[in-house]
Amino acid sequence: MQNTLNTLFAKSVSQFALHIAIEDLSGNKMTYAQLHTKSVKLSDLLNSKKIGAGCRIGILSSKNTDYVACVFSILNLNAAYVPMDINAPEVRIKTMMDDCDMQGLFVETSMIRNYSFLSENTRHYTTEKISDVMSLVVFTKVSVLHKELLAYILYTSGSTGIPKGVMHTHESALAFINWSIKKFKPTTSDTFVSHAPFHFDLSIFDLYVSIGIGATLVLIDDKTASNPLELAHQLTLHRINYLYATPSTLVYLSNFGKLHKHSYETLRVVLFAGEVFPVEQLKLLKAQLPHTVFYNLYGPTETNVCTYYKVPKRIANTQLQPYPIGKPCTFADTYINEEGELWVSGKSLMTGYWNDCSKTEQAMCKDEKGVVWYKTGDLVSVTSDNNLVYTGRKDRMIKRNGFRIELGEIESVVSKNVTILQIAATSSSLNGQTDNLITIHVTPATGRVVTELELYQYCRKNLPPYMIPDRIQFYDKLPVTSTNKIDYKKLSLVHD
Amino acid sequence: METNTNSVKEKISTYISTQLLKNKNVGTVLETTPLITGGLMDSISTMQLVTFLEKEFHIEFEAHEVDKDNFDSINIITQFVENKLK
Repeated sequence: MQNTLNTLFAKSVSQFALHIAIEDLSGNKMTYAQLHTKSVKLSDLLNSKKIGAGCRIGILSSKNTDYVACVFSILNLNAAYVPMDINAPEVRIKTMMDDCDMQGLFVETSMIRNYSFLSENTRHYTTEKISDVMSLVVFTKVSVLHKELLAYILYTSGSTGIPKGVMHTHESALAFINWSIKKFKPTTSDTFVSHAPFHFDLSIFDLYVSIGIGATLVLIDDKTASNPLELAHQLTLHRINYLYATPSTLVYLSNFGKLHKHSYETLRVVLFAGEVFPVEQLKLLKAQLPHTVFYNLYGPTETNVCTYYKVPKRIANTQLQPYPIGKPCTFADTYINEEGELWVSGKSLMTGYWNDCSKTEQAMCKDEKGVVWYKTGDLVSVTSDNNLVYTGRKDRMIKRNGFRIELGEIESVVSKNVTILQIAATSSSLNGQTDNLITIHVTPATGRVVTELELYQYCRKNLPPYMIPDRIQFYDKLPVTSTNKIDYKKLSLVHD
Repeated sequence: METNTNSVKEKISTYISTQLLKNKNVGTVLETTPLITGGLMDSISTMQLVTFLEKEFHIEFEAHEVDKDNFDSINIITQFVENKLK
C-alpha cells in the first residue's frame, strides 16, 4: 500500500512507463514516463524559487495535460495544490488566493490578461512561461509554512460570504482511493474520464484511481462537459469504462445526449454523487445503458466519499423514492445524532478548514474515546436493512449540479452592494427536477434606485455562475416574524 | 419568404419567452437580446431549445452545432434554423 499520492503515481510510472496516462480531446497525450519527466522538471523549477514542503500553490487553468503535470510537481514537493474555478469571478479567486496565502500559481497563459492582479506591473510577483499553454507566477512575499503535510485544499461555499478551504492530506485522500481500487476493481487497461472540474471533489477519484492503477484518463474540457451531444460522442469514441458524475449531469446526458445513437458496451461502471438521483430518471438512464453497473456514492468534500450503495440490476416498479446513500465504506464510521443529523468519522476526514479554527470547531468534534467526527448537516433515516437514506438538510445549504451553495454566501455578497438595504435568498425546486431555483428578495437603500439588470450584473461580477439567482424580487420592506427576524417562510411562498 | 421568416422567428420567440424563461423575471426579450452571453440561458435551457427546434422544424443538430455562437439571440437562432431548412 502506498502512503502518498506521489508514491502511488511513482509506482505506476515504474510499472507502466509507456502507457498513456492522460489525454485531452485535442489529441494531446502523455505517457506515464512523460508525465513523470514533466512533473519532476516543474518540481525542480518550484524548488529553485524556494517553493517546497508546506507551501500552497494554486492552479488556474482549463483542463489540459500540463495541468496534471503541475498537480504532481506540487505533490512531489510535499506542498499542497489549490485548484481554482476558472469560471469564478476575479474577486472570488483573489479572496481564495489571499485566504490560503499562496506562494505560487500555475496559470493558463492566455488567461493572465483576464485578471487584473496578474497583469499589473508590480514587484509583488514574477511570471514565466513553463510550456506552450501554462505559466508560473511566483509571489515575492514571505508566507507561512503549514506544519501538516497537506495534499490539496478545495474551496467550498461559506455562509459568511468567504469560501471555506477544505484541507486534505495524502492519508485522507488515499483512504478513499485505495478503497475505490479494491471495490470497483479497475485494471490498467481501463479508460477513465475526467468530467468534473478539478476544483470539485469528484476529480479526486478520476485523477488518483486512474493514475494509481496505471490506467488512462481522458480529460473533458468545459465546453464539452456542458454539451451532452458532444459528451455522448466522446464517451464512445474513447471507449470509456468508468464515468463519475453528478445526477444533474447524467440526467442531462440521458435527456439530451441521444444515447440511442451509440453503443456503450464498454461503459462498465457509472458512479454518481453530490445530489439525489430521481428514480424515474435513473430508470431511463439504466435502460439506455443496459451493460452498466450504477453506484450511488455519498460524502461531503470534508469527508471524501464515505458511504456507497449499489443500485440493483432491475429497478422495481414499487421503487418510487430515491435510492439510499447506503452503508459506510470500510474506512468510515457513521453516527446519527438525536436530531437525525449524520456524523462521519474515519481516515478520509479533512484536517479542518484552512485558517478558520472557529468553523472547524463548529463542524468537527471529539468523542470521549478521542475519535474525531464531522457533522455533515445532512439529515438521514435508516432502512430496515441498515441503509442510510438522505432526507434533507439541517441548514440552508442547497445544491446545484452537485455544487454546494450556502444561501448565506449569496446574501453576504449582495449585501455589500451599496444600493441594497436588505437581502434574503430563498430556493425552491421545480417538480421532478434536481435543480434549485434561487430567488433573492431585496429592498433598495434609502434614496437609491437599482434595476434588475444592474443587480444581475453585480451578481455575475461577484458570484460564480452556479450561484447566480434566477429571480429578483423587490420590496419596500422585507416581511419579518414576531421576533423581528426575516420571515423566510413567507418569502419562500413567493415562489409558488 | 418574408412571412416564413416571421413565423419561424415568432415560434422561436414565443417558446423562449413562454417556456424557457417563464421562471425568470427578465423583462422583455428582444430579437437581439444576448441570451447565453447575457446569462439568460444556460446549457440546460440551450438543450431544451435544441429539442424544441428539432421537433418543431424537423431538423437535426450535430453535436458541434450546439454552440453559444449559434444560439445567442432570437435573430441568430432564426437564421441558423432557416439555413437548416433550406
